[in-house]
Amino acid sequence: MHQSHSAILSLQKISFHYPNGPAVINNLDFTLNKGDRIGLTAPNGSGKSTLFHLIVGLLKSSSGRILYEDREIIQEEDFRQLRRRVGLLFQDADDQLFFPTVLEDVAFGPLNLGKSKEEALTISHQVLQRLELSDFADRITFKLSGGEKKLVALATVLAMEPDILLLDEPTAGLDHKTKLRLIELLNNFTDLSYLIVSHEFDFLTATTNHIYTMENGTILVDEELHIHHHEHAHRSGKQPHRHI
Amino acid sequence: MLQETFINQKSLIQYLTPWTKTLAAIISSTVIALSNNLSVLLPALGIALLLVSVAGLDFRQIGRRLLILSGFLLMIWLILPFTYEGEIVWRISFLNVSHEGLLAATRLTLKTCSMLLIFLALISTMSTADLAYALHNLKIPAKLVLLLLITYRYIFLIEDELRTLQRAAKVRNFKPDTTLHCYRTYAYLLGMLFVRAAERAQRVHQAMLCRGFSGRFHSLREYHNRSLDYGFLALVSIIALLMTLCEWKIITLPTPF
Repeated sequence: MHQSHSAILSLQKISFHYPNGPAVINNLDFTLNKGDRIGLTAPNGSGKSTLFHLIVGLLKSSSGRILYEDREIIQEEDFRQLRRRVGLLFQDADDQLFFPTVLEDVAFGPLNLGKSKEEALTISHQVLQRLELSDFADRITFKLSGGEKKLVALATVLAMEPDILLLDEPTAGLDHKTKLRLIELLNNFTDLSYLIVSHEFDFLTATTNHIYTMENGTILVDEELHIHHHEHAHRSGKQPHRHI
Repeated sequence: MLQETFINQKSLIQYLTPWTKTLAAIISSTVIALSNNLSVLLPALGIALLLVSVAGLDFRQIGRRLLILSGFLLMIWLILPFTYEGEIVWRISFLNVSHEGLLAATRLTLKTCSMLLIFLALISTMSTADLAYALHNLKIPAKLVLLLLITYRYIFLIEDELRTLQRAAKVRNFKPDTTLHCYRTYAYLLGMLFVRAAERAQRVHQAMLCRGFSGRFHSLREYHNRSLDYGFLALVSIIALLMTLCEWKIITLPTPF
């Protein structure tokens, strides 16, 4: 992967290991161009979440460079700026929602960015409307269902008006209906580039245009198409149906 | 775990803003805590009872809460009258009951009961979130307000995690009894709960950093006080002032003792 003119985020020879542990991320190179929608699938413990945390500076890499729009990100202050542009959706939505009501939670990000109360409220209402969550504004966050929490968490990230989204297993624990809704939403985000980590191949094919894998702490790119057949069986299989 | 039983009571108290209620509770409890004169504390209990009845709270629920308090008060009544030095009013074989001891126990009882009742009437009739924002508007440091808000938010999750752990123990036929095995299991359970809570705290902090948190706390809620609020605050302040004057013996009321 060579850096092209439209590259927004690029990681160069990034390595990371936990204290006294083996390398989780090993000489990893990765470039995200504007408009890229990339899926990342790999077994548990292969360092996908670690990679996300390295990008937004929650963990510090032991070597390598992170560039955002050709500027190197080094200091905590650089990462603070970066986090406005790169939104991370956590695996567990409960970690992300810490305010009593949905509206207050969504407005937390914009307020931290120095927006006035009115601006923050306008942005929050817009985002909620975009996700068809307007009715949720005054709902109590901890009384939402799992799927609703996930969508509200997505709203809190979008309220920061990021350029890039990092989604860490967004479908974990979601029912079929919410998954479909998430797919529809992601496909409507034409102005966003995103990187999704997921075990669900069907979800990734529906939302991304490249799917990469991770092995030995690096990202493997396999751009070739492989025609393959597989048979499968399940109950009610005779009924016309699709798999997503 | 937290039920917020009194939030949806319809009463005059509900028309006051959380800001007013919190400020009134702070003023009245400070005066009561610092008063020692029975001619101040007895009317204070009367006022507290009046507030509770205005708030329209269920007396059975109030009784249940007073019952919890009575355990502590019982300890005070069992210890203070017999250990306080002073004029002896009563002898039971080798035990001496002192006048000062009785007085001190009475004072403590009056103070705790009236403060509890005032807090039930004013504070427990608003949601924890409202209380936090009211404290923020009263210029309480952001760190403490966030601590309150986040404790309230995550206490339910921690309760869930405890239930999960208990269920995991139960499905493997764990029965609570008084063996060393049982105590050890509970210790592990508690330890695991602490570890999980700590990990949760770390992830929440990371999520806050991702959204640009820098230690500042912004509140979206604004409370608009109306004449009712100012009237109530004025009334509370006048009563508090009268009580203070009484306490300093600038005004004298007949003492019952």
